[in-house]
Amino acid sequence: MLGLPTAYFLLIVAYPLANLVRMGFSRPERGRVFGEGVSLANYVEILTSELYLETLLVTFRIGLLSALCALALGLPLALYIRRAPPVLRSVIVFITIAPILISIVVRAYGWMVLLSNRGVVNSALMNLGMIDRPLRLIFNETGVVIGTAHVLLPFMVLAILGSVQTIDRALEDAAASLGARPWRVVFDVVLPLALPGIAAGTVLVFILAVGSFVTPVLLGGQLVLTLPMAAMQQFNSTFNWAFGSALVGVLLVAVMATTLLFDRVLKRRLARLAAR
Amino acid sequence: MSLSRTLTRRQTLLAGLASGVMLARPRIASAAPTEFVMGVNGGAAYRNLYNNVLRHFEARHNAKVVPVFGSGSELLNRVLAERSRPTMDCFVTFQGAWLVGKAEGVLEKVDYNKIPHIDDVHDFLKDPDGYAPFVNFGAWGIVYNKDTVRTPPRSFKALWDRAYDRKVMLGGVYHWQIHLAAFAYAWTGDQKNIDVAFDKVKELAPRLAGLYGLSSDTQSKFQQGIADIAPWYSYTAQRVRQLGVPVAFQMPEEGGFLYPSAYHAVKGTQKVELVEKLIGTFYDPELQPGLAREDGFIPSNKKTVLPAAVAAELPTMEEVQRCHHWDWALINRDEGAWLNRWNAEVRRLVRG
Repeated sequence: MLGLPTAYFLLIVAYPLANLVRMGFSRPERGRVFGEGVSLANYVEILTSELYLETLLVTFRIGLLSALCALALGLPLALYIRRAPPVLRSVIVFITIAPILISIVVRAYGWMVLLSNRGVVNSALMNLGMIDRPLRLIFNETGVVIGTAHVLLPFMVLAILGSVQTIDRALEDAAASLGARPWRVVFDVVLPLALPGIAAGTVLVFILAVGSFVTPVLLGGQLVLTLPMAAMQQFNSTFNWAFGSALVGVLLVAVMATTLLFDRVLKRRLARLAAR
Repeated sequence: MSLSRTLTRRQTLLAGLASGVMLARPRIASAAPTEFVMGVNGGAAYRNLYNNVLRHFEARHNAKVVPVFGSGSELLNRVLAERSRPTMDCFVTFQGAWLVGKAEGVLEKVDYNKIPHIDDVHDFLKDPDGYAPFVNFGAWGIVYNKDTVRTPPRSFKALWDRAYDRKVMLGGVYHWQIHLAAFAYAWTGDQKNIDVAFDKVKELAPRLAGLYGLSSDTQSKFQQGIADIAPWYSYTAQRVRQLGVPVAFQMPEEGGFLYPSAYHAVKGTQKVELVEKLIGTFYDPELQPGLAREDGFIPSNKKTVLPAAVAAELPTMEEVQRCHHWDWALINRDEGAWLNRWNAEVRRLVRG
C-alpha cells in the first residue's frame, strides 16, 4: 500500500524537481539550450551577483508584505464569518472565494483600471481635491503587493476559518462572564487558539506570493523584477534553461528554509502558550 | 444459428470485393480528416489566422487543425521539452527562436518543390538550409497614438526628443534585445555597438512612460493612455487598429527591421507534407489580402494584389526594401549578458 503513493510522489513531484535541479548544474555553450557535464557556475553566478541577490530580496519582501496585507484583511473577515448567521456566512464565504473563479490576468487588468494614473482611485482623489498629482499606485512594488494580496486573500481566509471554527464558544463565554471586554476575548482567547490557522494561512500566502508570476509582471509594469520573472526571462527570452533552473533552485531552497524557520518559531510560541 | 447459414456465397464475395476496394483506396475507408496539431499564437491572432488561412487549409487538404496556444518562445520551449516524443506537428516561430530550434535539431526540413506558389515568394523569406520558409512578415518601427501625438517621431533617434518625454514605452520582459540591437544600428550604423545602445537607453529610461510586455499588454497600455508611442510591429499595430485603438505605424527614416515568422515542421512528425501544404496555403494570392487587411501582414507572394485601401495601411515594398535584418546570431550569442545589464542598469532607471 505504501508503494503506490510513493511511486506517485516520485513520478509527479520528485522526478520533475530532480530534473530541474540537475539542469541547474549544467552549463551549455552560449546560444545553446542544453549542456553536458556538471558545474556550480550558475549557482556561483547567482549567489555572487548583486542583481540576483537584490531580486531575491525584492521577491521575499513582496511575499512577506502580501502575506501581511492578506492577514490584515483576512483575519477580521474570518472572525466575522465565524460569528455570522448560517445563510449570511455562506454568502460571505462565496463572495470571498469567488475571485478565484476569475482569471488572474483579468483581475490584474481590473486593478490597472482602478490604480493607474488616470484610473478610478486617482481620478476620484484629484476630483475631491485631496491630491494635486496622481499617486503612484501601480507599476511598482505597491501595485504588486495590492494585486497579490487580493489574489491570495481567499487562501488566507479559508485557512484561518478552518481554525477559528473549531474554537469552543464556551471559552469566549467564560472569559466574558469573568469580565473580559470583547477585544480582550479576541486577543487573549480567540487569537491564541487561531494561531495554527493564522500561521498556515500566512505561510501558504507567502509561498504562493513569492512564486507568483502574472500579477508581478502586469502590475509591476515590467519594472519590478522578481525571481520567477528572472527565471522566466532565462527560459523564454534567452533559452538558457540551465541558468533559469538554477534560479528556480535558489528560490526553492530559500522558500523551504524560510518555511522551516517559521515552523520552528511557531512551534516554540505555541509551546510557550500551552505552558501558560 | 451458424454463420454458414446466414451468409450466402454471393454476400461473401461482395463483402470481400468491398474490403479489397477499401484497402486499395484507403481514403475511401478513412474519410475522417487528418488531425494536425499546430502551435499558434492565441487571441485575435488565431481568430484571424483561422478565418483567413486555416479553414481553407482544412477544407482543401481534409485536415483538422488542433491548436496549441502560446508565444513563439513558449512553443519552442515546449518542442524542446518534448523532443524525444513530440506532440505537435508544426509551430510558429520568429527568427531568433528559429535559429535556436535549428541549432538544437528539433526542426524538420521541408521539400521546397512541394510548396505551392514558392517560386512567387520573396527570396529573403526562404531558408538556404531547407527549413520552412517564412510565411508572414511585417516591419518593426514606430507605432503611435494618432489621436494624442500630432507629430510622430520620424526616426528611432527622434524618440530621444524632449517633446516625447513620458510618452514612449519600450519592451520590458520581452523584446528588450531587439531594441538594443536596433538602437545600436540607429545611433552608430552597426548592431554590434551595444555599449552605445545601453548608454542611449539609460539616457532615455528616466523619461519613458514605461515598459511593455506581450502584445496584449502593449495594446492595453495604448488603450489606457499609459503611453502613446512605442517601437513595435506594423502588423500588431494593424491588428490593434482593427480592434478600435487609434494607432498608426511610422517607418523610421533609418529603416525599420523586418520581422518574419515561419511555421516549422517539428522533428519526428509524420505530417511534413501537410506542413508544406499549409505553407502553400499561406502563399495563396487569393488568401493573402485577408491576412493583410486583418493582420497587417505584408504579402509574401509577389503576385498578390491588394485593394488600394488595404495597401495604404501597410508599409510599401520600397520601404520594405530599405528595412534591415536583425543579427540574430549576435543576439542569440550575447543576449544572456545583455539581459543582466538590462535588468541591472536600465530597468531601475525607468520610473513608470
